[in-house]
Amino acid sequence: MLFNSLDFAIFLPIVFVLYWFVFNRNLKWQNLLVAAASYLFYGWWDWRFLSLIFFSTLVDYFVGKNLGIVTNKLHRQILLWISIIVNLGFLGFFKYYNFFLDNFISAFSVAGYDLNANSLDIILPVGISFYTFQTLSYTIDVYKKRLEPAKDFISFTAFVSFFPQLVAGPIERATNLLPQFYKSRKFEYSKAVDGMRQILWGLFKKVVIADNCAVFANHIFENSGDMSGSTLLLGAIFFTFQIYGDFSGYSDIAIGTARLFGFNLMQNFAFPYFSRDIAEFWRRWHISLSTWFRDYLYIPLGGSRGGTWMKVRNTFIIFIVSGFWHGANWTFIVWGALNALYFLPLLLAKKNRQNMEVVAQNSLFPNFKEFGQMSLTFFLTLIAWVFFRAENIGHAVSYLKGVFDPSLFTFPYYVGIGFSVKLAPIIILFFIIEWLGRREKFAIENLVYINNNKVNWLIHSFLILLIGLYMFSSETNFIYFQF
Amino acid sequence: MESIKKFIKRFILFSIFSIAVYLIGLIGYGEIVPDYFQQNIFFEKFAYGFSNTRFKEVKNTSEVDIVFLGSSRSYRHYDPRIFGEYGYNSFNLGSSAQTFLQTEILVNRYIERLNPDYVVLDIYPGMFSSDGVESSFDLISNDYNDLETFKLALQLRNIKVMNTWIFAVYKEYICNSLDDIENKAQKEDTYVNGGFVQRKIRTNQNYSDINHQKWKYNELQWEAFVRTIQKIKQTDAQLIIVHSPRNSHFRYSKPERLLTYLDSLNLSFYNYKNMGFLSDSLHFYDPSHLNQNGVNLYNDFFYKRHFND
Repeated sequence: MLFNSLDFAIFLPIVFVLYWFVFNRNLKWQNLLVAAASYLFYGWWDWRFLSLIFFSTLVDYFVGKNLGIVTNKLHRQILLWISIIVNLGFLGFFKYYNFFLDNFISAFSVAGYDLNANSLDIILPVGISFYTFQTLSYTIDVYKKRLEPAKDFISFTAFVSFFPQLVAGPIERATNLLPQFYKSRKFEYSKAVDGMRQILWGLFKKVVIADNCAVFANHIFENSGDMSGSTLLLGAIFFTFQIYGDFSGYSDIAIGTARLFGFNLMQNFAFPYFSRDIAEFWRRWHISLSTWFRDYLYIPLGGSRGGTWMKVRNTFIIFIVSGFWHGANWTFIVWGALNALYFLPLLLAKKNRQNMEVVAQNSLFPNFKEFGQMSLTFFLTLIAWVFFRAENIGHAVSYLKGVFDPSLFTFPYYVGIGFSVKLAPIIILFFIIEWLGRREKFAIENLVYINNNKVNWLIHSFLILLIGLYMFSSETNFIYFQF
Repeated sequence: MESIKKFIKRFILFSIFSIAVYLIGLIGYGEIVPDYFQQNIFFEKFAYGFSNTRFKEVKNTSEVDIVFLGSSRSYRHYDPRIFGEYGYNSFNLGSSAQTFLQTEILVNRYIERLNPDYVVLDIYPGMFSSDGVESSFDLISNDYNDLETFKLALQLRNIKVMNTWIFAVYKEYICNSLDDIENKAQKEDTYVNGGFVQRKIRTNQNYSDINHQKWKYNELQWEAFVRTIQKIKQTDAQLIIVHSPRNSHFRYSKPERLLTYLDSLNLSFYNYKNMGFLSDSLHFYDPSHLNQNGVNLYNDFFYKRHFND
């Protein structure tokens, strides 16, 4: 079920009413409702893959339970590996089997051996990368004794399949989300209102910004051979806005929805395009994944301890693995490696933690230096996004060659350019709102400083009107569903 | 519990408020902002195809012998003047890009008034596979709107169709837009009484490579098709389902699902896509539409094949 669909607009109020009015007296029943609603939500795409989530849940629940009992170190390690093998095994099979097979065959053919093996026609289950990492965090934390094993199966099932963040995050840490299923939830009016506002802003980002930019980005990337440098640059800018609007929009809707049910999910995006360097960008982009890799990969690998070489090695490992997490394609690996390269000078100069505060913290506009830093960071991420979006490495390289061509200084042209010009005021308005709200958890959290309901209502209604007038006319998938 | 009730109450009040803002904003936007800048309203009164005039004329027409239904391939391929010469009174209810979602509404609205002996449903694969959005704008903008067209807008799940429906209702009931009169001659086209549109004679220069098309079935369209057939069968009219001529470079797969369904109802599908007496260039003005010379030949053939008993 898509957040931006009529189905979800019907589903959400029904679950909300059942949750607060029918199942509100008993925590277990409330958790059961969350689990059932989550399975319905997920099964709306393809009910066959429900068995996969259920199996993962079952394995991790019993692994966790036994980790709470077993004291023998070896046995505990075996239990941990069972969880890792099952979870990463599913992920590996569904997501990476064909990639490894194709590359294996290619490697042998380079050596002069012809291998015959057919790729399998595998459908990637929606959200598998997200819930796999979430359940892994549970078993690892229980193994490390940072978390008690789940108290009951229903709470654990609800935690694994929690519908607001099941298919595209935020990837919640078990230490944050699981205990919330044990405590009775109290409805908080202000929290619910904030949740609704976050949903509204997320929806705007997805259906107005991302979906409209996608039309032009897709057209330009698919016909990049025929486009001028300036058009290709514009195509990359469209994609930069598309991916931000799409993914951060999803996260906003997820976090807002969870708030309606009394849950707090972690912030996943903190205005990354207002970053002054790449290190800051990665503290602000897909925070739940970056911190996951930091906690469960970078630190176990040794983190920043052990000298410069170790730091560089570990940085490259997490960026490359993070790229590979996104998809079974070399483009994602190069995207990760490129970001590691961007990060490297900051790491070596020990300047990777220099921009911890929000840019222009106490002023309306950035100063000249900050503006320059933000522009450079935006440009570097834009170059990296070309690899992320391209069909293959060759496509990305030819795209970038096309950008850095004398035609970069001509006027851009593509089919529908007039139509995209119409969108320009909306994109500028979006940019201004994001800038003004950069100190908040989401841009419109404190957009209206006047404590006047009528003004608030008018502004939010105006936002709804803008959505109706400018949204892409049909329901579209979120980009991160394919990861 | 009190705070939830307060939340729901205020949410309902806000919804009412925002719906009001939405309606006012949408209408103001539709009226003030030039069409070029409008992304999600497509009110196209007097668009090509003369639907406005046709729907006005049908309201003053009753008791005909033949009704033609379908897309532009219907209103450009069956000339009531020719059938009139053979003694058959007919009306062409085709409309631009018409799909079964719109055919169904037109049948529900007008079939009883027209009370035909024959209903000719001109189909092609696109009618089954299309999402039906384009033709909805034509119907919503040029005929009256009611719960049926609202249901259509809901079914299509397309904000542009829904916005257009809201704007069309405003135009219809506040501005009386349906009273406006369309010019019956536009560019190369002339509206002929009885629903036909005649194009100024020219030949087809637009050749393309072989175009393989499959009969794909959008379930919404298929269900509307089935309901339409059932509705027509409830009248006394004889139903003729036909594919009118098209350029020979179109190649189709076999319409198995369609044939099986029609078979179960003892109905035939008359495929006149490739007629030996029609030339791809001389008798068409584009790959999908006959010119008047082609219409004359095809209508003569059609009459003899189906009515000259």
